[in-house]
Amino acid sequence: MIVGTAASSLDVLTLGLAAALTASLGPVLLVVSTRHIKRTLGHANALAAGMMLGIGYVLVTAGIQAAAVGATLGAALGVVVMYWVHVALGIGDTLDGDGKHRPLVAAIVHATAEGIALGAAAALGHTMAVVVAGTLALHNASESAVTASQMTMAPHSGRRDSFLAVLSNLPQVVIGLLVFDVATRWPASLGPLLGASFGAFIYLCLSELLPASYHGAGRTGIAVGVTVAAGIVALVSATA
Amino acid sequence: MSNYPVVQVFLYALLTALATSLGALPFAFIPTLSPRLAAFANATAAGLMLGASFGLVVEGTRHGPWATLVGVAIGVFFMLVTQRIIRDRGHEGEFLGARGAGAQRMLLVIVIMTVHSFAEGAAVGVSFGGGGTLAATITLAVAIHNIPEGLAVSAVMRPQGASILSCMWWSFLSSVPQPLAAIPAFIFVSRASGALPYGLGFAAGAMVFMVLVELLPEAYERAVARSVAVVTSLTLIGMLLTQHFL
Repeated sequence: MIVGTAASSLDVLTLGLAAALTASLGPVLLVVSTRHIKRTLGHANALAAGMMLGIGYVLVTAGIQAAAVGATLGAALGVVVMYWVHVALGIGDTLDGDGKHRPLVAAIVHATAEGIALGAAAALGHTMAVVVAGTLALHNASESAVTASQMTMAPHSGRRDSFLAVLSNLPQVVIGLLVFDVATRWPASLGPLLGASFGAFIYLCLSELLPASYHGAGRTGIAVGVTVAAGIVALVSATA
Repeated sequence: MSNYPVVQVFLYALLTALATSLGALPFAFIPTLSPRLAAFANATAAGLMLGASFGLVVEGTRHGPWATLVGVAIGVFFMLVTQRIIRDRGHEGEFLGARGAGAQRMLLVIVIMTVHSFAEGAAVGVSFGGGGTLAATITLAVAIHNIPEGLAVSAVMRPQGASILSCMWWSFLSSVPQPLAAIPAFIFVSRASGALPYGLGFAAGAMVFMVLVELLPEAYERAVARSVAVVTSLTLIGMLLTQHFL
């Protein structure tokens, strides 16, 4: 069920790399915005959460259209696997991150889920791949600002944090290529893969991004930020 | 679109209000509600509401993506204005015999409950514009969602010595705006079919706002975020599946 023109592996590679590279902007935001940093990070998390919800909505709509039961089972599996990974790695035991490296591990887990989304979206067509990659790029910038802030218990270095942010997002390129290959070879897997990425996104959004955003800024501002970001992503994908 | 009698819309919405009273029943067996259980009740309600909102947006975008987004924005704006009015009114002093901070808290709870119920009732009414399946799923979602709300009302009343019947009655009363709001919302989208995506978006925006401002933050305060996330996510997914097959 390709919408518009088909995407290629090269598209997935370039779009994935571009999305991963934008993660370098987050730590820069952190350096520029030294005042009200907690609030800024709260809103950055809210935007990242909203974009994830918006993309999740787009993916699950396409997944249910492709294979309703498969997409639902994939979504449930995505939630359960992410929960298990979090428990196994001790991610989310504390809200602020409890070490220099754990936020980085969490970012790698995020990037894996994003890779599944990118690969599955690319299997739907070039337009969908561009929409998802564009959203992931914006999302990565917000997300990496938060990750960098959690790693800066050690002496702060913007350049190092930017490098680590990009590095932690590279799995989305590899996983994206892999998932794209699987979904194009076995079209029956597309529904469950779209569902899995939705499940993973929703879980990550609810377990990490939203609690952290409430921690940094007020409920009302967060609600507005999340709704606006999710609405814009859903609208862009509907009109693209 | 207007094939449904107003009485049917009223009865569906009344059913959702009646479901609120079921929240009092657990207190016939347990003396108090543990914070963890309260968190999971909130997380379940959040998943149901998010799932219902997804359904409303999917239906809305079929009729007009831009209009749906505008509707969502109006829904959020409506909730923001209501919040602001409540906050401002709270400084005026007396309410139902109470003064100062106590009056503000009481007014806040009552108005939030009413507005909350109003938005849910509007969602039920508007959903009839999208067809019987959408109406049934939204009614089901709101009805199930109301049970934890009744649980919350009863959790405050029961320790003060209120009877189970009294808890059920007040839980039901807190949702009475639902059947009252459902009818004008239904008539509005039936008479002006172009308003349907705006109405669906409005209901979705208002519900998502409530989830993000009330249900999720309260759940996070009482349980580990991971557990809240897994309950909300799986409920949301279950809701999507229900909507697809109903």
